[in-house]
Order: sequence, then structure tokens, then C-alpha cells
Amino acid sequence: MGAEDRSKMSIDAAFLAPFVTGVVEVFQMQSGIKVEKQSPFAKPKGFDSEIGIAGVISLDSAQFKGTIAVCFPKQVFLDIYEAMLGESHSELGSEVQDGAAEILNMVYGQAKTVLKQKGFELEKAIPTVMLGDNMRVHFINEGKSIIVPFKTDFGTFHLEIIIQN
Amino acid sequence: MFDLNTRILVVDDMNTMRKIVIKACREIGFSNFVEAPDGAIAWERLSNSKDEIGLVISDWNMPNSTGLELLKNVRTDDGMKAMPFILLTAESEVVQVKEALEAGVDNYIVKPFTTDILKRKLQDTYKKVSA
Repeated sequence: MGAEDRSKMSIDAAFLAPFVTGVVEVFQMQSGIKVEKQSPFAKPKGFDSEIGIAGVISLDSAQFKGTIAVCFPKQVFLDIYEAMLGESHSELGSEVQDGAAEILNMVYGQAKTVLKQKGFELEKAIPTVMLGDNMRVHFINEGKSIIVPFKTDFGTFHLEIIIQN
Repeated sequence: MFDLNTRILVVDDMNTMRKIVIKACREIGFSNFVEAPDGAIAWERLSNSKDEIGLVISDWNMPNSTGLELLKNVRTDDGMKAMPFILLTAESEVVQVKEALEAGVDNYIVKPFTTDILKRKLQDTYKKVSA
């Protein structure tokens, strides 16, 4: 591995960690749901997972250009939403979608603070919510993606960071 | 602690965050709420029911009119200037809190938060405004 690759790996790890911590803290504090981080891995070609709803933030800063997505299977997110707000829903309607956006807002807010201390300057970003049946997160000119799975009592979901620079 | 019959105005552009705040307040024992999605609508609600709302819990960043603008309106209104006012803020906005303190905010809560944190903040705020 060359020096440039090692430096890149270091930037990626430093960038990733606050988002992982943010996911764990937001879920535990805001919904009382215990979230266990699983081993991260580089997204392989053809990676398939059952995604029903995803909160997505695109970033374009001097140090990082890419996308952060928190991706949930439909039923896992419906169960998390019920645990967080005490409301049962059977479909991913607008209220539930708002929940996915707010979770990502909080995760991003947590991560942004830590990253600022590490020298990463990130702008305020507005999350969008994507819906679909077993969709894949895929972007034109997709760069390297890192997947961090999380295990809960309701099932697993994952954080995906797509690095485009 | 605030009387549990206190009517609380919860202001946030995100529906989910309003629900989170209200759920936590219900767990503490409150049951009387008014909601608004931004500072401008919150100001209308306050202006129309001055005698009923006893506490404001407002997000900072909102479209149309921010939580800080709402706070400044409240603090410059003779009938409302003593209204207990708590700001909700993201971790990354804590540096802005100085501006809110100068504008007269009574307390602030960093998101995410637990019901216990909210309860403690409400107790601290009550002590402050009752002193």
C-alpha cells in the first residue's frame, strides 16, 4: 500500500468513526434502542440488501465529497419508529419518512461537531428520504463505499458512506 | 417544577422532533400542548393565546422564522417577556447558544436527549424563572 493510499485510509477512518458513534448515541438516547455496531466492510460489487427506506445526505466540502445514507429494511424501520414514538404504522408514509430524516439529522449533527474538531468543515445539509422495495443505494460515478451494519432487537440496518473524492 | 397542567408550545419544523418532545413531556406528566412548525406560526399562536401558554420549547433552525427570532419577539413583548423559553439545538450549533443566552433564553437542550435530561432541564428552568 502506498503512502497516498494509507493517508486516504486514515482520512476515511477518521471521517467514518463520528457517524458510527452518532448512530449508536442517537438511537440509544432518543429511542432507548440498543444498537450494536458490526464489523464495517468495503461494499462489494453487486452488494444486495433489503432496503425499504433510506435517509440520505450529500456532502461537497473541501475534504470530503460523497454521500452518507442510513438504510433500513421497511419493517425494521417501522418497528424502530414505534419504539421511538409509540406510534404503530404499517406503511412508510410521510410521518414515518420524516422520522428517518430526523434521525439522520441528529446523526449528522453529532458527527459534524466531532469532525469539526478534527479539521473537517462540513456545511449544514438537508437530508432527503428515499423509498423503495429492496432498493440499492447507487450513484452515478460511484466511488468507494463503506458499509457499517448495526444490529438491533428489531433486525439489522446499515450506514453507507460513499466517498467520491 | 412547572405545574403539570402548564400548556407547552412545541416548535420544530420536523414533525418527528415535535412528537419526540411531546412524548418525553407526557412521560414527565404534562398533557397540554400546542404545536407550531416554525417561529412565525409559533408567534401567532402565542399572540392568540397569551394567557394559556406557559412554556415554549423551540428548535433553533427552522424555515421562515428561527427559534432565535421567536425568542427575540417574546422577550421584547411586554405581555410575554417573562415566558419560560427553552431552545432545542443540534450538537453542532452549541457555539451559537451564546447568542441565545444574550437574547434571554432560559435554557437549552442538545439533541438527541433522554426524558431524564428534559426533566432536569425543566426543573432547572423552573428554578431559574421562579427565583
